[in-house]
Amino acid sequence: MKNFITGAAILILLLIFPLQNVQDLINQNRINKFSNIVYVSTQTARTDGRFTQRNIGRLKSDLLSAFPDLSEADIYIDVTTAPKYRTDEFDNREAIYYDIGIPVRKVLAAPRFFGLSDSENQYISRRTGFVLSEVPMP
Amino acid sequence: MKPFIVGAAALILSLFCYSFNTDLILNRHANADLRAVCEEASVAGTMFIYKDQYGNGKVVFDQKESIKAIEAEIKSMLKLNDDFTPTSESYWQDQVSYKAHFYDDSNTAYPYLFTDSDTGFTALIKSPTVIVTINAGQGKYALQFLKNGPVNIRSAAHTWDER
Repeated sequence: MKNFITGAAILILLLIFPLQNVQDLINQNRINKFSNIVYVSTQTARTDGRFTQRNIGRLKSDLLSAFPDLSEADIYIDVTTAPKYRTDEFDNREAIYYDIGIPVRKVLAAPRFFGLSDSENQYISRRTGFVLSEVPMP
Repeated sequence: MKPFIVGAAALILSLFCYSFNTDLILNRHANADLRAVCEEASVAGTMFIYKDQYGNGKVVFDQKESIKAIEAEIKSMLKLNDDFTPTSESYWQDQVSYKAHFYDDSNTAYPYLFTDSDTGFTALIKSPTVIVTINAGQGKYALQFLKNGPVNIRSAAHTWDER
């Protein structure tokens, strides 16, 4: 009986690892999908010379449809909406900046086992950077 | 006692496997990101040309301005300091280095087959092109015997096209 109890306890401990590996892959897929959506939006911003309201709206709707667990309030978007132009010399004031984030809600597969609440078991995945405008200076 | 010892051994082995798997997933993602950074940097490099040369029907890159843009793009996307060392927010741990190759109407007879000696990346250059290769150093691995693994080095090309 003692052996059975020890074996069962070890088995439960060992189960955490494959579960966590699967959870890591799920999270990574989520981040990859998020990166792809942001990439499309930033390339659109490059040709538009800024993040237009239409582009931001499409970004939000793409994120909401790709991640059904998200609500609009969960999406963090801080982007350049003022028009930027292509210049002859590099000027970082004429760059189109973006900082876009979504929550990754389940970091650990078994948070209760480690005494973590749902709010502690998440982080924000962010994509930040800039693209240069392709719109010629008027 | 025997189940305990076997169980403890299995636990340690699982920890090793988990550590490797997690680091591998992170490194693969960072490596894919690095490719995206190369693409963005090469795009930034093609944005600056000499207008007077363009007026004569030639596309010649303003390499000074292009390099400024390439460096700014790399530092911003990889979260680096001014000396290309990673900030605390960056995944990378080594000093990052890059190479930018400019092929334009002033120095290239088209078509030209470019081969990167570092990555084996090839591109058939038929019009003005900027190629950026970034060496971001080794990935982060917790296991001691994986710490001296290969470096993460990627290339991308962007061609200046008329619209």
